[in-house]
Amino acid sequence: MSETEELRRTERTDGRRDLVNVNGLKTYYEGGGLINSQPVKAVDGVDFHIERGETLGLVGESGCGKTTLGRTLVRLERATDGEVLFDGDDITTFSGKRVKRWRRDAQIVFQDPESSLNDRMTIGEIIQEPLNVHDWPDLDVDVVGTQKQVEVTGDGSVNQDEREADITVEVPGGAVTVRDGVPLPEDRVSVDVTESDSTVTVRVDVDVARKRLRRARVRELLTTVGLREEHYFRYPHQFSGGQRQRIGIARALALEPEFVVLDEPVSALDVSVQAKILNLLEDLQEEFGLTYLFIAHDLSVVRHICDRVAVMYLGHIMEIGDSEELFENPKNPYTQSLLSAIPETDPTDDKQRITLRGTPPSPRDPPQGCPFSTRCPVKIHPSEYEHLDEKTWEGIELFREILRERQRADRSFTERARAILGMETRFSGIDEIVREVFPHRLTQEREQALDRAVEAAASNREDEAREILGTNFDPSETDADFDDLVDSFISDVHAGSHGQARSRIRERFGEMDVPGEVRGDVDRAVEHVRDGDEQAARELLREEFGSVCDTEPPDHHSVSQSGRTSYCHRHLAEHEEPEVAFERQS
Amino acid sequence: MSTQHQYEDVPLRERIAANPQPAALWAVGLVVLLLLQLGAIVSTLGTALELFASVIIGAFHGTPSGISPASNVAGAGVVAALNGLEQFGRSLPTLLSREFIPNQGHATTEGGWDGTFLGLPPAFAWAFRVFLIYAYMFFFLWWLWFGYRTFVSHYRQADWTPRDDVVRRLRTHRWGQFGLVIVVLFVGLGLFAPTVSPVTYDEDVINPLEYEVEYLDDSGEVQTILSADANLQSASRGNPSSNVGPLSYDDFGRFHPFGTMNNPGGDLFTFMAYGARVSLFIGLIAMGISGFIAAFFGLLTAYYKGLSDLAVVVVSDSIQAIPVFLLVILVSVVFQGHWLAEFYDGGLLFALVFGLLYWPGLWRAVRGPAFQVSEQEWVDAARSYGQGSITTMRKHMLPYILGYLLIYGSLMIGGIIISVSALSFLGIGISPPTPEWGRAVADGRGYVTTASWHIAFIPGILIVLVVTALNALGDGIRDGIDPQSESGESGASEAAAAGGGG
Repeated sequence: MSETEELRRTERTDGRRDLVNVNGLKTYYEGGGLINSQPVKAVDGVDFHIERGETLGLVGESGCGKTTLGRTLVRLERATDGEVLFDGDDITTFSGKRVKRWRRDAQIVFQDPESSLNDRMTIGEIIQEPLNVHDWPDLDVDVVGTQKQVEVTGDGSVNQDEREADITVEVPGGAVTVRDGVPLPEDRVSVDVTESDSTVTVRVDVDVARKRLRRARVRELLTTVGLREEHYFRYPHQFSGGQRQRIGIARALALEPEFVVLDEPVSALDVSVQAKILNLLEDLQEEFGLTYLFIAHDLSVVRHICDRVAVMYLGHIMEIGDSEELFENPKNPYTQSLLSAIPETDPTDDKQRITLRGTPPSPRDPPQGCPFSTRCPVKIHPSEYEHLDEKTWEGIELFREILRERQRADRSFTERARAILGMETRFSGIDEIVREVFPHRLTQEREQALDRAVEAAASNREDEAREILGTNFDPSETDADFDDLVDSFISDVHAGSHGQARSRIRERFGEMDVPGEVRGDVDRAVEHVRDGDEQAARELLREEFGSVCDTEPPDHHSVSQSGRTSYCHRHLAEHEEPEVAFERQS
Repeated sequence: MSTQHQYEDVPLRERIAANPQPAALWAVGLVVLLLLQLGAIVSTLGTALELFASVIIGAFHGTPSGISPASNVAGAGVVAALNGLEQFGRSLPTLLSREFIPNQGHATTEGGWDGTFLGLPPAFAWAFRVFLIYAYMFFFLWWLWFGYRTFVSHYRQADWTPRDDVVRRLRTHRWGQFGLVIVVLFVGLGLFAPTVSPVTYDEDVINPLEYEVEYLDDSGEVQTILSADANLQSASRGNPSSNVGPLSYDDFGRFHPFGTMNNPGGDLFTFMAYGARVSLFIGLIAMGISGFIAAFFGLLTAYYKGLSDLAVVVVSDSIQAIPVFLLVILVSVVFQGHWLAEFYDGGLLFALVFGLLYWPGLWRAVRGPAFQVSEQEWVDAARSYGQGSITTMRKHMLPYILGYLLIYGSLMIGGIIISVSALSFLGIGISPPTPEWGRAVADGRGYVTTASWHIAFIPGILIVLVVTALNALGDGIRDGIDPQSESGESGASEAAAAGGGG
């Protein structure tokens, strides 16, 4: 018994450095609708590990799935697929008593200190509740110094799990030691050892009630997290946000967990309080050997507290690796964009900010290839279009994204009916979209005429402006549409926005300012949309302008000596590295 | 651990042992108050338990014969024992009783009164008794409040709790306090009906042929007449010559605070007092049943959401689609002669029907708050350390919806009182001889324009007053527990009241 115990311990402490191992984890939320409900793919296949005693940071925009991932690790959400190995056991398969036992080892600190404490309970009751649930302390007993079969009677029981026993009895002699975490004086434990040929029977009697031990433990915890014992009978309303977060931490620590998920523990707090809570968390980690998963969106906080960092986007881990290294030299395009958003304190620094266009796609319908492909500034382009300029590419990508969005938007029954009847729907107007998305250009004479018209309108010679526009742009057209256009042109000039006035005319009468081969494809796509076949338009554009980023999910490429990985096609030998691509652009 | 800690969580028993004086003072006061009314308390308890036991026995045997103490059905012994308890209670001394302060007697030729308390006129004797009863009741409530204050100042370990804020807000809520006072008066009327009424219901309505009334006739002789005859002769029939209005004596020297009723006569106040008992009984039972179901489903649907919620929505919608009055008419026909209809002449049946029909409204009222609470992170936190689902609902969710149950419950009782009165008015509610306010309105409605206007008017006004007071109390509780809502949420409460009114 004790030999296997020894073996188990050794394996646990030396054999496995990782406490948590996540493989192919997916967490989907079922869609609420009855028909055609796509699940929300909040976490869509992540792999990582957390070493014993380290702090892994998890950063990303809001909605990227980081909180769901944290909640899945403590089984507040059920994993859809994949495994979460905790100390080698897959916790997603646990059930019943096993879950309850395991819950002692993994705890969570919530983001919102206002909502995480029940207002109608005193602080003492709040912190004591986990202890009551698990009938803490176990009062389990390890008997050392014997090879015989051990039996424990009385208040104690034989230690069954991998945790350190609350009471250790030495045989022979019966010397007692009580674990540090249990506020039980050794002289309150009486031990009676009887030894026969094959067994040792140890009778352990504790003359302090468990309830009292729990209360003493709560008071200890209060001081541990920097509160005072007299706070025991107060209510959450009587505390500030920082103090409430301390209470939440004390509650999470009550059961002596090994692993704590910190779900944005400081983002709801004042900056001055944040630092104090972060220091407290670091101290506690050192004192109790805790392993943290630190979820945050504040990058500077993550850099300060984390050993390693994982960057998440749309349910995927884009880059994961050593914290300092990742911040100094990000490899993944998304990480680079994210880090460029940190305000620079040095005004002379001419670091370029990367602004991402658009918003993240819906996790219900993520892109087929790389999750970042719809917004990536250094997306790989097909080689035959490599020469196109940045503006054109922006237009193409924007056009594709708008078509995607149009597909995703729910069409009501009335709208479908209108479309069938050939009436106008809010999804029509493809010409306007093309005009807005792509740059437009006028011929030289027309451009000069436009200049004259602006000048005329600006010096209040409105009739002249009308005349110029009328003769140069569309003499035959005398319909109301054109008059409206001219009216708004003049009022724009009067309002001082000459640029807008010019682009009105340019977009209406100009030619699309893109290379001929692109223009042909766009025109064909527009034709498809006009025919009501947007699917074909999207496919055409993807075939023509799409690349590996659109079609294939990338691999996690190792990008440094320390084992940092990045989820991007550009790390393949045949493509430029992301930073080279960024460099070329700027 | 060996040293006693300053902030040790000490059981209340030990805290009282350490400083027994305030608690002892309060306990002695409580015992004295209870001893004063010992007989009434014991007999009321006996009556209530007897009723409860009868319902249980009836449920097993399905026959009304199981209910009477004399029958030989198994369990009837229990009823008999409880009946004995009730009789024993009546034999115990009770200070504030009609025996101690009698108001029934006859005038003497010298101008005084014989048989009344201290020879006072019956009106004063009766008024004195009523005053004492209500004084006792309010003092008793104050004593309970005083007990709470004693606990807070001497024994409570927390120096502030969220309840303190509720109490503070209620203390300045005049509208709610108005409601509370009226509700206490109403409850007192029902609870102490045998004592506050000028004549017992038994003598007045149930067995008037077995009681006699002594009075001084015109020739100066003391005569005796049967109660039934006296009632008949002093009934209010709309014509000024045969009418006994409020606050007046009839020809037999009997005082009628609210006047008399029409055929076959009888005291209106007595009718109202015993009727309050019936209304209260129906309201509380119905409210208890639907409150329990609403809380149960509220917690369940908010905790598990999804399919369980959908199922309850469908069930509750189906129930709400039932026309209540039609169903009640149906039920009262189907259950005619059934043992359940025996209690209070259908009162219990109504209570059950309303309880089972009105929970969807209550459930909808608490569903929102319950969902809100279930989204709080402390519920997640409880799950994260392995707290069981039942305990989580009870500890972390129920306290937050109890207040809403109280609010909507008090509104609902008002609605039920109106519904029952309306049914009785229509003649399909509680049948005679059990008194019901709505029936008084119905009986008196032909006399509204005559001298006997009081028969319909007084019960009608009292129904309005009590229902308004219950709404006021509900408003007060809501403002107390949920200050954000203020009074701006009146839309919801009006809807609830309207729903309650059927």
